[in-house]
Amino acid sequence: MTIQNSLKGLAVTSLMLIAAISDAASLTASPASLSVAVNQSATISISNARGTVRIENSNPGVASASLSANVVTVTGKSVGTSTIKVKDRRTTLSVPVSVISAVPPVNGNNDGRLLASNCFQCHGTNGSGGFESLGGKNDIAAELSEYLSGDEDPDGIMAAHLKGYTQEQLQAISDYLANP
Amino acid sequence: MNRRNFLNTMAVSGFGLLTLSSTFPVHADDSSTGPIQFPVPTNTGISGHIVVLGGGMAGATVAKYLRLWGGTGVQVTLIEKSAAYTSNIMSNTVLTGQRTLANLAYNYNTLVNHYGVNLVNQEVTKINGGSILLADGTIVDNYDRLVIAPGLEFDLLPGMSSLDEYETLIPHAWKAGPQTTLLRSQLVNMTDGTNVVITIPKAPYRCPPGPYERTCVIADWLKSHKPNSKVIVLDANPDILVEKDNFNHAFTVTHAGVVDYRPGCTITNVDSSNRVLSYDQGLSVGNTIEAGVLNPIPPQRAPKLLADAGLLNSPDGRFASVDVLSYESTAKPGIHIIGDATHTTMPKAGHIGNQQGKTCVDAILRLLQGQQPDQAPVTNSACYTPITATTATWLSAVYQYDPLTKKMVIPTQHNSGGAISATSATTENYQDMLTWFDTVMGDTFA
Repeated sequence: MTIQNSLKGLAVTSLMLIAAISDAASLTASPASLSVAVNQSATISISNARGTVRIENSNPGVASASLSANVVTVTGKSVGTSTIKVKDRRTTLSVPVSVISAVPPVNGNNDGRLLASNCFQCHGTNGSGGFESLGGKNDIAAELSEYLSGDEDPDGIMAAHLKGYTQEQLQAISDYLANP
Repeated sequence: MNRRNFLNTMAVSGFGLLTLSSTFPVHADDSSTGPIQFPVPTNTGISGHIVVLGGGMAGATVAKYLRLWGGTGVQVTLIEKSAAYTSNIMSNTVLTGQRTLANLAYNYNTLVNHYGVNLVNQEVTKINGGSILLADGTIVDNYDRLVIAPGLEFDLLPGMSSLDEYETLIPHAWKAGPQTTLLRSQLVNMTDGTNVVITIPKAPYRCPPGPYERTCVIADWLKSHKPNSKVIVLDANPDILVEKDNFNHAFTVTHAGVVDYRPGCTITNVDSSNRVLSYDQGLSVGNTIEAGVLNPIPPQRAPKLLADAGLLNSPDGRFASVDVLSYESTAKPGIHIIGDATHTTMPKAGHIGNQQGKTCVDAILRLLQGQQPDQAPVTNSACYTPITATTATWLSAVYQYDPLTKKMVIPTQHNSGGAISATSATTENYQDMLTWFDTVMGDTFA
């Protein structure tokens, strides 16, 4: 006999597991709940799935969720809560997600930050202005490629300056500037 | 002498630090297009007290970024005897009347009122390991680390007896201020047909392109104001040190007939009252030259205050050697030295001092938490140079840390390890120069 439990209207901090009739373990998701900062990502690992796994995200404005190979990647978008439902053929699990404010790294060891600060003398603190504001832009890496390839102002100071950095450094700078 | 523990007094009276927990940046009050002021974070978990000596390009950057990156738990005391900083960058355009000195003044209001830096307008008279003595007798000793960004002092040239001669007779104007005003007025009042004589000291000196830049803008000005006068340059270096093609072109083409550039010159005597120089040039010894305006740029070194503290351990004893991962003195631990006073492979320049400051801040914040400094810092120089009243060139350099030599070196993919210059002087570059200047000053003081 199959025992089924409904997941409707349960407290968000609790997980209800469905016991299958067979000896095989049932769907699990770990961790049971998640807290992530805005623009940070975290993962939920899924195991013992029967058949195809699907996910539902109750509040995509708060967090995005994508599934690949039994790993759900959750990325904080704005402060709030969402519930990620993880379903297989028999079971639905609810993983509550809490998205909190982005905080500066406690250790102050953001490598991208010190590297990116090389840009501030010409582009303003945190890339806030100067020749062109960079802070909060997602396409810095693409723009840098145009300078590096010679497509953009090849005789200008920007193309010259970029020669001094490694690709990894420029990527780290681009990543930092997207969210300074 | 009245001694009191400075910081205990301040703790009792309250710092009144401005803490901002808002994540919304606040625009500067004085301009609708002014730089954005970012909030000092309240939750970094980092705490400590850092004292910064010197509020120039390097010191002001350190004070600002210690708060911006360190947060409200990092107390910053900035000790600077001047009420405001006068920018050396762009000060050559005061000589041509394009700017005023007042236009180049940068106050500390934003550092104090927004970032919560504690500013002490006092002169420092002695640096010990763990304490500093101020001119009014106060002892400052309750700090975790000391950052010294003191700039430079100037030597006398042979035949001179007092530094006052630079103040009243033959200004060097290599630290923007009253000497800049004096040199400007000497140029305005000079007799047409007499010459401006500029001397350039042997490297290292503050701002490698600076003397050549000054030669160019004065030559440009002479053409329209003193058409029978020239600029004669006596360079102690064997050749133009930086942007060689651009300056050579400026001297021989753009300002042809107005600039007389003489390399490899050793000054042997200066008569400041009569503005007469004696010098040797290679095998030609005992030359003399009389100037209508004499602008000697003297040899420069870190201040005596640091020498007395045992901090000037460069090979020639004139500058401070530092670990470029943290700018900690290699003579005394716990003391960091940045900017023109240091002995490194990097040029002495405001743009560089700003980046050294940020590197130093990042290292100090890690050290306060028991961590190691970033093992691969990068610094950079991007610098614009006016050639005429309307055209400019630029140069670029990026420095990477070489763990073998422990020095900052320009990587090979950047012009085979050398600086890169603009291909020519343009009006577009001149406009860019104005943007660069406003931005670097904003990043430092606002």
